[in-house]
Amino acid sequence: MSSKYERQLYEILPDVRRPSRYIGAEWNQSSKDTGDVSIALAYPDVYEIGMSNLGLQLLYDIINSHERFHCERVFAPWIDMEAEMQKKGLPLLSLETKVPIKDSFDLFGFSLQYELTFTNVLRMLRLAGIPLRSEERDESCPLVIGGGPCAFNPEPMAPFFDLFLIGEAEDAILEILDTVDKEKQKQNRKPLREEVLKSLSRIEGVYIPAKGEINGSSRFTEKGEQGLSIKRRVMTGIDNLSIPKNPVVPYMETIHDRCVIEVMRGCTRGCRFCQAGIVYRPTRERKVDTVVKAVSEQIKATGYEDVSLSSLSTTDHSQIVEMLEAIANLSKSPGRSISLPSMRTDQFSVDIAATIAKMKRTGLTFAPEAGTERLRRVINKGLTEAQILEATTKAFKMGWSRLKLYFMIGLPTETDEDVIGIAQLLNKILSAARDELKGKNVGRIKLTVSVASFVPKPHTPFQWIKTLLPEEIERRQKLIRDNVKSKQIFLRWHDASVSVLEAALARGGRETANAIENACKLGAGFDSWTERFEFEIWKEAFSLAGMDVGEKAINVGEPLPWGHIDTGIDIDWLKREYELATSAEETEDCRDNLCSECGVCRGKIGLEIAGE
Amino acid sequence: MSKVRIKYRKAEVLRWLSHMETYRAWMRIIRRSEIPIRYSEGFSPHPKISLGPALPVGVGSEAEYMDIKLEGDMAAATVRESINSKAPEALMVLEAKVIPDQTKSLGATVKYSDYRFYLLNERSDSLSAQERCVLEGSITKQVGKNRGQRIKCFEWSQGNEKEEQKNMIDFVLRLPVSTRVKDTLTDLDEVPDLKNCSFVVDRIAQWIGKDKMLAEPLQI
Repeated sequence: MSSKYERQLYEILPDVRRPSRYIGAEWNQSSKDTGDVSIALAYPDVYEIGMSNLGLQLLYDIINSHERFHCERVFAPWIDMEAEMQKKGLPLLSLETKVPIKDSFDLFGFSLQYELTFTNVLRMLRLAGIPLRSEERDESCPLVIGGGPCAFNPEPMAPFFDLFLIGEAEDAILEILDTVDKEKQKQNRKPLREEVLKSLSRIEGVYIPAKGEINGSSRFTEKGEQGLSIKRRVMTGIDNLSIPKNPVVPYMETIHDRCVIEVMRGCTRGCRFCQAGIVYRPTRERKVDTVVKAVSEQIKATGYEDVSLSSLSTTDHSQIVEMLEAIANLSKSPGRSISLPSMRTDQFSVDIAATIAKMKRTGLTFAPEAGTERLRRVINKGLTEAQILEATTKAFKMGWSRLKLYFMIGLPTETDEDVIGIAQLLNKILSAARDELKGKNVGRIKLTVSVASFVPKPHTPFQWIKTLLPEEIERRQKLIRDNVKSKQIFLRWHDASVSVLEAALARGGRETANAIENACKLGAGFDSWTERFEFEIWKEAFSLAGMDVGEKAINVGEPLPWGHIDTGIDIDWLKREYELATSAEETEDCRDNLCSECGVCRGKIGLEIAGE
Repeated sequence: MSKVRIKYRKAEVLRWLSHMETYRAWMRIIRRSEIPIRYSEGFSPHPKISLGPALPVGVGSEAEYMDIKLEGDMAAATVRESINSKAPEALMVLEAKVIPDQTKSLGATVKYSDYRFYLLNERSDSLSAQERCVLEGSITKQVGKNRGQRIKCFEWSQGNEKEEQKNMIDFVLRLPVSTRVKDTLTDLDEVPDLKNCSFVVDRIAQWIGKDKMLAEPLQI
């Protein structure tokens, strides 16, 4: 099917940057162009960012594997493309068949991975010709649905969405499409939005924001006392869930330009700042055979050489050693590499990395997160200085000369001593390496250190905490800079104002939507791109909405904007974790049968450990 | 070890791939095809694929070339079929030929490329005699400046074919490989009377020097 917009689109391409963002036609692209129910799956950033998202590939595969359903992709056109499209009067088009989103799809689904993509959602709706607010849409509009991590506090984006899906979507997306299908058949015409939404609201995990406003307030007490409680969808039996056999292979270089296999979902380490560590509980591992079969199939179907074994903490997989051996034995083809995106900072992980490096040496990244042992206990990172130094020294000894290290500043209870502790730890890592290597290759050592600013996220034990002002973040950044002595240490910062905005958007209530809409009108978009981010626009946008972008602390026990979203985690457990944090006490990983009673395991939902 | 020279097309929307993207696409196609491609030595082994002169982004082609190295021997027809079973149609292998190991690289030997220019005229009427004259002048100037050659003159189709080919003008220029086709286009764009016309350019042939004559890269 060739759309009449296609030629117009191609006429624009000579005038825009990176035209391959807009062409589609990749290997393994779905050849479906119609179905009983159709959905445009959107990622609100450019193609190369969106195509690196595993969830998008997964849903694309699940939906298009279903005979009655049809799914196409759509990404945010970069500023230059958007301007050209507006000039030509072209609406937002799907990537596969280049048809207008508004007229051609029953549903328009957004993956909400990061708060700083929120304005892109609005820009995409605007370009599609769909009214920004749910209440302004009529029967000619597709239902706009959102999901992903940012949907765990849906309120800041609530007015722009007709519905959200909270949690894991494998089953729920098919239930949603099936419900829309039934409604369409029942009425034998385009069904009324209101009736479809009513049916959809019966699906577990579906949140219809229009129903979420009670007495003009969108603050919710934790137990759903206002009669509204949306349960997160959790998949059980992860080993049996489908893994895409034929993922789409982009022509453009994407962030994760390789096979990505999810080997484990959830993480029970319990780092107290980490939202993913809460909202993807419990830990569920895939079996070695399942992973190896998927790797083998994907390599054959894509031509990728590199494999990434993805999860929140891959070296925690109970059979990681066996898994790596089996993958290494798959074929002797040169150039193959395996990468583990997140590793613990310990000797075991370095051993694993060394095994992998026999195939092709890749980078090594550690995330101590905080500079002192006390603060690492506060965040429940549970790493001693000795462990960190053992791991880094071992890495240098085994031939790595460059390490990447991740830290955060602005963590709860942080003092200047903790901040300076980051610099001191870096200095110690270097001097330990010098002692160990005894001068040999010491000059080649390079530490690339990324220092982020802590952003409190909903549903974590730190959800109540106040964020720092940009000036204070910058003062602490300077403390590190002043105490790092070596030219072999390269410091990189996150922009302080970006973190402040991120916190405001992550923890906002429904009123925050006004600020987001204002920002979009004032020209904000692609805010996660350094060259595009303008804090002044956001300050004005918040102020026009009668708000302040800087965040205040929330009292424990006070109703929360996300209080109606039930992740399965007990609020009392979160409060207890918060208290333990303030006294720098740790909670152990429940993987080792030490249940801390977070409350997520119930009924069929529980730990799924491979080989058990 | 053997060396195979491949002629392929880069058509339809894949004309928008950059040289690097094209290279990466071929790496993946060749791995999918499971032909015994040779890898470079060292820390980060790469398949031995060497593409011919780069094509500007947006220009299509029916005559792209690359050389690949294989472990052991494989019939050229088998190489072609294996690759085509795993390649999109727009990037299909047209011909493959086993060539001597010592054959000089495409980059070192390709001298000229033939480009076919389609001038899509959005207006319902065809170009006036005066406009044709201006266009002629501009082309002659370009060809002279770039020491190229005019291979084929205008052909005026009279709306007998597909609707979109109505009023289509095409001509072929043979340009040295160093010429930037995009510059040629820009200059033509400046012809004031042709402002609302847009170009589609395709490479239709490439030529290497052989015995003081020009030959196709596969004629070795």
